[in-house]
Amino acid sequence: METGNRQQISLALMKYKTIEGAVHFPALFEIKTEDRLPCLYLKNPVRIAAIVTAGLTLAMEAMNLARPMNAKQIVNLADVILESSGEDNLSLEDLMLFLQGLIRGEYGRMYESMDIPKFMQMFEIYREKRFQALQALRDEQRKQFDALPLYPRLPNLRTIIKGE
Amino acid sequence: MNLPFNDQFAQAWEEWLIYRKERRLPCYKPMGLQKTLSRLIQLADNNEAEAIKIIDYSISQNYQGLFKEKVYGTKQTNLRNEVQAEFANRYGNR
Repeated sequence: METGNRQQISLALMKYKTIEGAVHFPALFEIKTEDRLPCLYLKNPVRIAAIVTAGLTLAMEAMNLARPMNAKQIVNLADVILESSGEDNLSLEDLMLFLQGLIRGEYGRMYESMDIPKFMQMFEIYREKRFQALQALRDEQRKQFDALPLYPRLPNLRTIIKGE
Repeated sequence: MNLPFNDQFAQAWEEWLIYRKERRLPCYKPMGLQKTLSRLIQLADNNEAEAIKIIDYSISQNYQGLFKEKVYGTKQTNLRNEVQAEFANRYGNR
């Protein structure tokens, strides 16, 4: 990702998408906490900042803006993203999927310019969707758990074997 | 008229003037000639080889004026280089 190979990134993101091309959030929630941005940032801040910065640069290059973000703003934006990633335990895949959507115009058309507040506003739309998906998943899990009987459904295995 | 750089450039410049004559383009007036030369030096970043390249390119493309060959993708390379420089500035070359 640091080298900026678009095809490789697209291939890596395939498993987090549905057949229709939408983000498959349950697959994203399976990413372990230690492989998510806040943990990675704690372990190796420079490397992870470099990866995020490279991803952002690739995205900015792909957008045809009259006034794109400059180098300083891109590096600052990477910092902002990493600092706020702890709020919802974002993964790098989340960010890359959002950037892909941003380039493809899923968050509206951009004609003029891009800056940090505008970017974060659009990123918030993705994060809200992600939150809704997580909540739906938790609700479903809770319902499944509530449906479980209070006592074991089957008698104790030892009792069955002994024939008691 | 005092030409900058070396003989090679003088030869290329001469070729440019012949080319214009062959195409029956209006002859340069002294002021125009001086400004064209200044602009060429500016386009070439004061580099002789680059200036010769511009003349050759303009003749090969049958242009009436002097133009630098556009290299596509430099804008993106520039952004990448600038980001890398800014990143190194902030985090150091770790």
